[in-house]
Amino acid sequence: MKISNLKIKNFRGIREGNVQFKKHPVLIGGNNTGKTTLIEALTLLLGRDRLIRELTEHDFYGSNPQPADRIKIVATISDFPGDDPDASSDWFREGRAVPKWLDESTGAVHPLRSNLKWSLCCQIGVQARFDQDSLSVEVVRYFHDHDNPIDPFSDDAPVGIPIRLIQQLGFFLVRASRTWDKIFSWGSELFRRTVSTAAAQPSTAILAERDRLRSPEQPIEQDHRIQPLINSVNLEIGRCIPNAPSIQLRVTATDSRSVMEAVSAHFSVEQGVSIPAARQGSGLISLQGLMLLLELGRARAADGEEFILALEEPELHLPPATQKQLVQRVQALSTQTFITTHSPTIAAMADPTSVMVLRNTEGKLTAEPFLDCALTSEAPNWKRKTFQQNRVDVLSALLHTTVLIPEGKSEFYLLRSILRSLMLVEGWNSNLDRDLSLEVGLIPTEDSSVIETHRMLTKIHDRVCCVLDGDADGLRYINILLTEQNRPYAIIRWQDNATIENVVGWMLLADEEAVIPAFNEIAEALTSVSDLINWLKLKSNKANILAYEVLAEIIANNIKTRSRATEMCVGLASACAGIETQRFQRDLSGVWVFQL
Amino acid sequence: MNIKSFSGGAGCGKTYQLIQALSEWLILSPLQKGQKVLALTFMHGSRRRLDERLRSLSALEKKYECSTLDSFAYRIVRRWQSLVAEVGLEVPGVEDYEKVCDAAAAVLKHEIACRWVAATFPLLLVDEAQDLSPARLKVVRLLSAYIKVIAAADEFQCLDESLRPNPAYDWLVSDGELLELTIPRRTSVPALIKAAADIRSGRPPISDGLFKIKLTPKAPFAGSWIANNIGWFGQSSKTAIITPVVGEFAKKVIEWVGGNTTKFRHGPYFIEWEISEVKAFEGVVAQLNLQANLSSMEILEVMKECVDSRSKSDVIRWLDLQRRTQGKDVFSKLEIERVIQQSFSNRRRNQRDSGSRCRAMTVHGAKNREFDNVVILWPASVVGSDDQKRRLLYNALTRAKQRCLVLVQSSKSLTKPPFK
Repeated sequence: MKISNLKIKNFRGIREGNVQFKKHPVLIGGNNTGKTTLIEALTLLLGRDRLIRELTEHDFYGSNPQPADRIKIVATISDFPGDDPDASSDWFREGRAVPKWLDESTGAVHPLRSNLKWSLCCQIGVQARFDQDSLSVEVVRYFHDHDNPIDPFSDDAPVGIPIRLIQQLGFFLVRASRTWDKIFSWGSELFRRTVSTAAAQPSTAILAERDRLRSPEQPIEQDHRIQPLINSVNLEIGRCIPNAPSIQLRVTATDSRSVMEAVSAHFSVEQGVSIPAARQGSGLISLQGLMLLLELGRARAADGEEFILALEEPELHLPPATQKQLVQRVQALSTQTFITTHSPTIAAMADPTSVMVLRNTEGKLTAEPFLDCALTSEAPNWKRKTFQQNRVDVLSALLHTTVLIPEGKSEFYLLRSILRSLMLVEGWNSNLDRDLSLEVGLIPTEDSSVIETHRMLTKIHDRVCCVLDGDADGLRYINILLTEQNRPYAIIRWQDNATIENVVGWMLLADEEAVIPAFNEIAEALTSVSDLINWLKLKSNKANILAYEVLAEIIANNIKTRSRATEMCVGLASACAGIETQRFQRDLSGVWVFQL
Repeated sequence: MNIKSFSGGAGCGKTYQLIQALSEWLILSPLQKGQKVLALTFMHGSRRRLDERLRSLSALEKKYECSTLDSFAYRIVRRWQSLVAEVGLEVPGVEDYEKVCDAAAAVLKHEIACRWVAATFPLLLVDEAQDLSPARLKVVRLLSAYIKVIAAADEFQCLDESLRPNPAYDWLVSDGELLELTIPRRTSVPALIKAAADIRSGRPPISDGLFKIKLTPKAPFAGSWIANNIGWFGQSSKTAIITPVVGEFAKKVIEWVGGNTTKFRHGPYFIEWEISEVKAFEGVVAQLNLQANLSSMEILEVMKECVDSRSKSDVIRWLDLQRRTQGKDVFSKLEIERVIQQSFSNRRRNQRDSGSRCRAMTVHGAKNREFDNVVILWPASVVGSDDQKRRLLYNALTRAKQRCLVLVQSSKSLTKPPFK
């Protein structure tokens, strides 16, 4: 089984949201778009009661719930065996869910199967309201029969979902804030569930340990230092109560529960005393915790049971080297895995059609797949590159408030090199109006496919901007962009007839004398800035990353050139945010033009 | 055979056979995990009695649901309302019974919906099946293709003239295996058995011994018969005063009994009229001064005058729920009336036969019940075909276990069926 769709209303920062999921979705998006909220919504539907107990007014959109306001979450569960309701009569029968049919291409749910491609699905819902009399949140989980409005708290009485049925889905959430050191003990729910699922309760060992603690070889009360004290207490008691039992000191309460509670994981050290988990480095501990989780998955899979896992920001728990392997293991062992991440590296591990880019526009959550359908052999080169070789860069750009598409790859490398060098200079961004590196993500545009790339990215990002040359090609692109149905948030271009190389030249001209000597690190016989510009413009030197990095170094290390570069970056970031600066001003058609 | 049924005169043990057949079925095909027996009737009264029998059947371990056909149909419609809309019907209101049954039938035309019901309910019991209208019967018929049906029906006990010939009975005969029961079980009094048999076969009943017919043109005269009857027989046994029509005559008679003593020093006896849910509801609402739109404070003020305490508390609770869950404070008259109506129908659903030993009721209200001692008040105003009148008298007298007294207002009645 899998969760195919989730509809959310009025939950935390999401006023309204509707997201479709594939088998192993990876959710990315800027901060506050609702990645965690989405996972918590799943937990509210499928998890145990803990989250429900903790709900407050702040879990309602706007934090001020009125009597008629409801949190409402509806999930569509599909992938039932053979798409046959009779084969899953635990789910589909009178008193349980009404069978319905899901069209996965649109997410629509139908009461009858009039197309064999539609799959059997069950919809479950949860609603919550804040009671202003008792100051508590009331929650109801029920089978969602139809989309007509119902209020489970007043006149309607929907059919509730038995907790055992929910447990069949085997939902497990690994929060970003998890403390791993307590995982390997009976105090941890994960540990208990794994042990019981795998029928691995070490009862013989626990009972043996209990018995050993009951009759220790060297009883504490018989230690020669404490013995006289104990003896005299025993003697005094004996005077008051004849035949009173004498005192013994035992480790734990000597029943099996106390023994289990006292267990604490240690890590063995060669030729030495083992170290308790709490004193171990966190990387190893979290890895062991995740491995335990995988065991739970393995045990459930072996029993033919479901295992749905939500993993928040696995990059926090894992050293980079193990991320890929672990994510793949988790996906292989689970029925469905939801991963949220801020790491383009992790997002890039997944099939791009499974990566969901979340957006939150004034409370309306949308999620579009990074790539809507798998690439075919006819896919053009730029597209292939974007979703394959450049995937990490593109994903990383998408995590920014604004995405900026330069005209080509050399613009991308040049801008990025300059930005990186500027950032390395101490105190660079402490007192800037806008920070280009923080707010704007650069796209490595392939084959000057700026128009196509823009069309594709506007589908998954709210603020896509383009920066183009001031030459004939650039102006041609701008004319197309101006007539697009979804125009870029900002169209930016360099001054008339200029390309990015001219802009770099302008930066260097701030202190030409001082920077020229360093040019021979780039190439020989460059005796002026215009020499350098011409050299950079040579086709053979386009996207020469090494040269760009040296150049960026030169700009960053000189106060005057650095100041111009900073001005350009701040201006570019401002233009992307729709704010005029001395360096970027709008012309009559609304295009932002770089000013010398 | 997927449909099995029992027919026969009143008191021949149809319901008993129904439960027997259920017990046998449970032995042959024990209920699986999550499965239950579904038991349906038309009226709330018979539902309540069937529920009591099922609850006491230990082999069933309370794994059953007993409801009226209308509320079961509404449950299907409510849950499958997207399918109802898909086939072009509107989702009817809960009180629109015929439409609810039509919509339920439209849902159950789809195999998937029948299987969905059958997965929980492998067996369907239907008691008093003769009372099912074609729309209600259709729900049962559609389910019978997937669910074993055991039913009980007596065509002659159907009082609804529009159901003749009786669709449910005809269906049970043509599509299933029907067993006719002929031996009376409720009573062993020969006079009662004979009178019932006579009426059923169109012959006049004979006043004799424990079955007596008396002409009582005046209310005080009829009243003294009743008071004496209660005085002599009613102290230690359950007595019912049953009448086809609650008119002037019947009301006066009961009033007389409540205020007078006979020369044999019997009475006065206060006898309560069992009134129908609808009448009770109308009575309560008529007495309230509800305006078109009122605030909850105003409604609470109006409800202070309400004589029915259950309605009062239900309205108060409902208003509080609306305030807490909807933030609503102004309500229409219709909304409040609906709450009171709901209050009555819930009550009827939970009501137990009250402790009082003697009560007055209509023939319809007496259906499917039994009493030791029955007095039938037959006013001059009874209307209907000869057949209908026979059925009314038959239904009333077959409620008796020990004795029955018929008080006829008009001498003319005695010259016509069912008495002639």
